[in-house]
Parts: sequence; C-alpha cells; structure tokens
Amino acid sequence: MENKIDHIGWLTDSIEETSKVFSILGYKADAIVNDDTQRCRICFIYKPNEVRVELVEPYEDNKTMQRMLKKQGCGPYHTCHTVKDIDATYEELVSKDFIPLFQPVAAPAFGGRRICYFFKQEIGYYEIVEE
Amino acid sequence: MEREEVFSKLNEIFEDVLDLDETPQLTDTTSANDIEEWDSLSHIQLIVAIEKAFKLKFTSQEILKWNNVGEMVDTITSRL
Repeated sequence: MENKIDHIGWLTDSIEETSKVFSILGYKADAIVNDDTQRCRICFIYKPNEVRVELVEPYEDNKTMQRMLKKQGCGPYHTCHTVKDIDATYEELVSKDFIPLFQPVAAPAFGGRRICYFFKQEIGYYEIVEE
Repeated sequence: MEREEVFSKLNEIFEDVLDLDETPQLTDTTSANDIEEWDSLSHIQLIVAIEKAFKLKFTSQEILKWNNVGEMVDTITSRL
C-alpha cells in the first residue's frame, strides 16, 4: 500500500492551551478550523523537518469524544497517512478488517479533501486523507 | 445462549459504553437513529465492548452489514 505520514492526531480540551505548550517545543500553529461534521475544532501545528500535529478539540456537544477525552486525557490518539486513491484504499483496508467509522467525507481542515477514519484493535484509530 | 440473554447483556453494554442515564430497552429494530449517543465513534467502542463481553471477533464485512440491533444479535448468536 502506497502512503506517507501526514500527521499525528492529538486530542485536547483546549487548542489554545495545548498549542501554547507546543510552542515552547518550537511548534508554530496554523489557523483554527471548525469542522461541524466531526463536531471538533482543529488546528495544525508544525515544526521544520517534523511530522505535523493535528490538535483536535471536540465541541461541548460531541459527547463521544468528550468521554474519550475524560478517559484518556490530552494526548495522541490517531495517525494519518495520505493516499493517492482514497476509495481503493478504503476497500483494501475494509478487506483487511479495518473497521471504517464512515465513508470518505470532505474535511474543512484539509481544504475539502476527503478523509476517512478506521479502527483496528491492534493499532487503534487510523486516518487516511487523499492527496 | 438465547436471544433474550444476548439482548440483556447488550442493554448493559450500551448503558455502560454510551454512559446512558438509564438502561436502554433494545429491540430488533433499534438503530443508531434511536439513541442520540450512538454515533460512528461510539459504534466502535460498542463493538470493542461487545467483542470482549462475548469473547468474539467480528469481521469488517459483518459489521458493515448491520442496520439495527437485531442484525447485530443475529451475528452474535450465530457465533455462540
């Protein structure tokens, strides 16, 4: 499967506070984007020659992610790879028993490029985004 | 295990995983449209909890075919 790392997803209860701490480590932050479909605020932070980090702050009404946040606290919770053909990759991963959370959907934080989340017990949550 | 027992166990799992205020009364036709807390992410958490409780491992194809709790129970009972 052809893919390359795009980012690490980082769950947080406050993008502003987490981003402030990452800035001590040399990261710079992009603008915050509201994703009303995923019910999250999203902000990419980056540093030269490092994998970028996606800070994800669930909306108050996103009860499932709020529960996850309460349970695991702030921290990494998924990895994301870019793929050339998201539909073909979706089918391939499903055939290998990755459980999709939904069909590929356009994501505001990626300028409308489509994303899809999967779960696989042995690795946790995994995201793909089309190039 | 009888269907009734499976439903009883599922009621407990749904209440716990979805953090519901009261035990749901799941039926064959109950779907994600009937329970606000049942979204795509909590669906995964339910699957993990169900696999653990019944000591099963579902395939993606099985999971994608489910439209309601009844179909979920069909898969579980066929494996027990």
